Amino acid sequence: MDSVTSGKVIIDGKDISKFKKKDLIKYRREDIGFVFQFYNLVQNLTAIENVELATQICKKPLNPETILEKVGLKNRMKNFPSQLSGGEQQRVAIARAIAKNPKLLLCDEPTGALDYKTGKQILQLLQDTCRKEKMTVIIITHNSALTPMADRVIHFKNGTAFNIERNENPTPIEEIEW
Amino acid sequence: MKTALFKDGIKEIKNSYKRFISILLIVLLGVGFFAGIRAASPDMKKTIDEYFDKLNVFDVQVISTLGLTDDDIMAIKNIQDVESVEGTYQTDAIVKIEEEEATAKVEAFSENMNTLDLIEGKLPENKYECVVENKFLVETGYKIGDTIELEIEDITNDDGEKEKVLKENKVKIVGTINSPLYISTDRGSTKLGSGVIDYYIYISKENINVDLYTNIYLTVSGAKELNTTSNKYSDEIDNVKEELENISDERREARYNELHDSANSKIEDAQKELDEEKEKAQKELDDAEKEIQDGKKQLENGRKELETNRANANSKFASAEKQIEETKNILEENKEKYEQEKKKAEKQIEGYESQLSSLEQTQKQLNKVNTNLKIMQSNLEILKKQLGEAQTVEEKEKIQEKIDTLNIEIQKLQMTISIIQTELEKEGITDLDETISKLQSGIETAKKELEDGEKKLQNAEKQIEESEKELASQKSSTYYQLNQAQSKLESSEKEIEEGEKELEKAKKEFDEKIEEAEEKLLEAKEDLNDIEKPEWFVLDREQNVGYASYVQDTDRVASLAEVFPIVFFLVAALISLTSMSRMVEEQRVQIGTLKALGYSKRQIASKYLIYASLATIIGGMIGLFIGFKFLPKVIADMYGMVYTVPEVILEFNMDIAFVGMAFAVACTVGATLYTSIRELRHNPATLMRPKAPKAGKRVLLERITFIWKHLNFTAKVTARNLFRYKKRFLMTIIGVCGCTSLIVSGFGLRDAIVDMVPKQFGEIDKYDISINLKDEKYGENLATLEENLKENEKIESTLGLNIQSVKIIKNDNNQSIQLIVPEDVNKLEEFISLRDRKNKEDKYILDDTGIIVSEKLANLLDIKKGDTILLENADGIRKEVQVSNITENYIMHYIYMAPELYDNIFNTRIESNVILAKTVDMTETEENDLGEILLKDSDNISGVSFTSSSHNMFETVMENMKIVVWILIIAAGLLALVVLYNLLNANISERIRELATIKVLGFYDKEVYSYIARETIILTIIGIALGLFGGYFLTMYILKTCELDITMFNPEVKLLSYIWGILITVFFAIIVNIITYFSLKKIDMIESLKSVE
Repeated sequence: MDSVTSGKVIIDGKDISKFKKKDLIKYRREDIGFVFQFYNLVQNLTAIENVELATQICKKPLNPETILEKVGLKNRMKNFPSQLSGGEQQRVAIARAIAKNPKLLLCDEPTGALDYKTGKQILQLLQDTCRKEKMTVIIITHNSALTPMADRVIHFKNGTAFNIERNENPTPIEEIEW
Repeated sequence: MKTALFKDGIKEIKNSYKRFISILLIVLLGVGFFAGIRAASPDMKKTIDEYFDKLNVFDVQVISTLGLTDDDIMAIKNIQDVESVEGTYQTDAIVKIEEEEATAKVEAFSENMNTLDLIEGKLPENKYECVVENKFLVETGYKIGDTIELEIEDITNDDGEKEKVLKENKVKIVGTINSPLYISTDRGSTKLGSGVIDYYIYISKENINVDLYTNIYLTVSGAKELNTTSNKYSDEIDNVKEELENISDERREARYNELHDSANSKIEDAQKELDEEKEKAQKELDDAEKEIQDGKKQLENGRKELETNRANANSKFASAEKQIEETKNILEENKEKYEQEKKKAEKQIEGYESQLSSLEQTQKQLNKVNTNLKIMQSNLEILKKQLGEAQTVEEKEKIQEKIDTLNIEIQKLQMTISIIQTELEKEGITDLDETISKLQSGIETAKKELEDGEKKLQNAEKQIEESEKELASQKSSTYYQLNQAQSKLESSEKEIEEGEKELEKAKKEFDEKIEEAEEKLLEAKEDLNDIEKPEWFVLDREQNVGYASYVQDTDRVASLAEVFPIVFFLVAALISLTSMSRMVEEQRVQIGTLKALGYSKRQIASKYLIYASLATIIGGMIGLFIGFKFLPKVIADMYGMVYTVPEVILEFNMDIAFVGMAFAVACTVGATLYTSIRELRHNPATLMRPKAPKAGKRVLLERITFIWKHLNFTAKVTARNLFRYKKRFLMTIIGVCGCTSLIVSGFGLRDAIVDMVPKQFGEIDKYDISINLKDEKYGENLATLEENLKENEKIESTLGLNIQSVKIIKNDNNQSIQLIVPEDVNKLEEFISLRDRKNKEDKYILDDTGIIVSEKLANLLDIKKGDTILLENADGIRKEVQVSNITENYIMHYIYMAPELYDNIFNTRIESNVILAKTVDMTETEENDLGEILLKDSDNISGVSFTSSSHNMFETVMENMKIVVWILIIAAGLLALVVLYNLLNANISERIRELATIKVLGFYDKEVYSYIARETIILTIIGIALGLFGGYFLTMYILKTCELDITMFNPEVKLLSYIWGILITVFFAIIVNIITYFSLKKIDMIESLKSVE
């Protein structure tokens, strides 16, 4: 999405920062799932269609319906985003990201626009996905209360990482409060 | 505070300059076109008005079939409201240009009316000078200063005498001019040359030799101040025209009387002359006859005389001959007597002669003896002498002997003599000599007597001969005389016979002559009866071909201006409306903030209103400026190619400007006002929250599950999206549809116009020449004339037909309609095609069940197949007829009728007054030549017109229309570009988050493009499809508006025009899509991370 001003981005042994535009698109397409703060669902598509939007373009997508079932939206599949609550929308967004079966799931303040309870549900969903699907999930947040649930926490300040810590025993999400 | 808001406004413009400019441009286009095309017609009208005012062009003119007089002028002058009156003389002339001939309208120029626009040189100052149009110099190669000769047919003056029209036929070109009376290329028709006037030439009034005027021009007071094309003007003129019509009866009557009287007195004179001549001739004949009679009598007398003379002569000569015969007999007797006497006398003479001869012998003997004696005596003498002398005796003896012998001899001789003498004496002859001479004279007298007798006889014979001769000569001379007299008689008889013959001939001639003269007189009398009252034509400028077609053309431009700019304008208004409402909607947060800050609704709205107004007013102003300056000039310049009028007067037409601006402002500012008011109704909190995104909706297509299932995902998205943004959906479709319609109708219009001429003058009117006959003809007369025409190798076939102006009595129409009745219905197809417009193979044949009506006429008067109409023929007789078919036709109105039907209905044998002819292919020169040849038969042919010339005339008009159409096509294309770009721009900026998101999801540029372009493409396709229909209807509408009453455009949009419509729209769509592709590429994915504003 953005290019580096300095340094390198190495994922899976590949220096992504040196990728060309087309390679980057291909990389995003196949290896990255993205969850936005504001869900960024296509308003004109139903939940399942929003998922399909992603699955259509990658090589080995998961079944959109099963994914939506997994995120607990079995009955809302045919609803438009405007007919869904914020949490549900975010779940659709996550489903959309997961459905691509990416290696890396990037979440930009996934709970930022959600209330406490829904937020927790979403985080749980993300953690479950991580654990069950063996998928790397990166959550970007201003809410440091979330850190205990992560396996690894990277702290950023003014655009540079200043601290990386490992959580040997992540706190279950139910126990986290903010 | 206000300044902050103002600054914000300015910034807004700067930031969203694309939107500002697109609104500005669209308003510019709309207003510019609206104003420009609308202004073209008024500007052109204004131009012609000022031009005509400047040159003092007449308001009304009067033309009479029998010429106009000074009295007419006086009468017209007295009409109220007539400002000035001017009579002039117009005639057609032939100008020789090397080998060729050109026809020209020759007119006397005036300084007060219809003044000439001098281009070069000077105006004619005397009768030896003329001015011509520039075209003349260009086309003929003459220069100013050259002299041309005008051939003008002499006219018959009121006294029936031939009179020269011009005093001076050789005139020098002193300048070039433009005449306001001939602003178009059409100069009218003539009976001369090829039948078409090529040029106009103005000469000085001095040069006119005729007392009459052909035209009286007049101007109406106060008319100059009015625009010549306005209704007010025509009302004003109509008043005067009415007045003119009122006095026309009286004036016509006067003129009629004048002519009638002069003709009458002429006839009287002729009658008198005829009578006198008759009398004189009769007398001459009588004299001649008498002379012949006399001659005959004389001849008879002569004959008798001759007869008696001959008888006399015969008897006279007979008696004379008898006398001669008698005389001859006497002579014969005398001769016999003489012969007897002669014999006696001869015997006597013989006796005498023998006597004489014996005497003469005797005398001879005697003489001989005497001589011998004498010789012997002389010898004796000699011997005696010798003896005397002799000396010797011997000698003497010898001599003596000799003397002795001699003496003996002498004695013998003497004895002989005495014997003879005795003998003689015995015979009684004493003197021999005397007897001899007596005998001799006796013989002589006897002889003489004989001779005398003979002589007498001879004389008598001679006398007889002479008298015979005389008689003969007398006879011959007499008979000669007689014969001569006879031959004289004979010749005079012949003469008389000849004289009689001649007399007979003269009589015959005389009869013939008299008959002829009487016939002529009768004819003259008939002619006199035929002198119709002169017809007055009161014409105004509308009847001036140039002016009328100019005004018609401006009207055509005006009717185009009715439709095209409005379509433009509507599209433009829609575009600016969407742009502005989107802008207001986009800025709802800002509006909320301002509202929260305490700005009043009006203040907030004013920002957008000012934005919209600025864009609209600036765009509109530029549009007006360009439109007013550019379009009327372009259009007028195009017409300028056909019309000689001055440069168009460009005006800032306040009315149009106001209407245009008002429309534009109403659209943009109105739309802005509406949306901002709608937004401002909400409270700031609602406004500051993002507007609830439009709910996704199921589309109809989803209900049809089996299709929906088979659609791929992007198709589904596209389908949904299409229906989600209904406004944009409509906008795009309307925009594209409008553009396609405009383009299609532009091309369609071109089709209609381009096709009209070749169709009319090639497929429908298949003849090449129409020949007007001097008199109506039918049957054999017509056939002979046609045969004669066909002798010309260029003419292939002919058809006689009757053409007359008729009326259809229905509603209030006054369409001028030509009724065509062909001589031979079956041959008509060869010359004029009657057929169904849509199915060209469906040909119509005239029969006696009904008439065939041309299509435009049928449309105008709402006539359908099978209707019965009331037809008024040229003689004013009204009859009902049934319409059996409607035929394809584009120019003028025609009704076709079978001759049988005409005869049945109107009860008259229809006669042909026109012959149509088909020719071999000809060049223009050949056509002109043929026209001239045909016109030479002036007894039969009064005019010739070639289809090609009407063809050319319409062709030029149509050529101009084509350029207008091109302008429209180009403008429509531009409009398509702006519209599509604008809509795409809106589409992108409205959905930028969505686009950024799918980019993040890993859509390739192409996929992103197709994600959004698919919609546009589908919308464009729908728009184009609708536009094709729209184009058809728009074309039909425009055709109806632009069409003149006498023309019908071919109401058919060709496939190619649709294809062009599609191609041009697609072309612009592709341009816009390329732009889209690149602007999509530029979308930053970071946008997807931003919060919803």
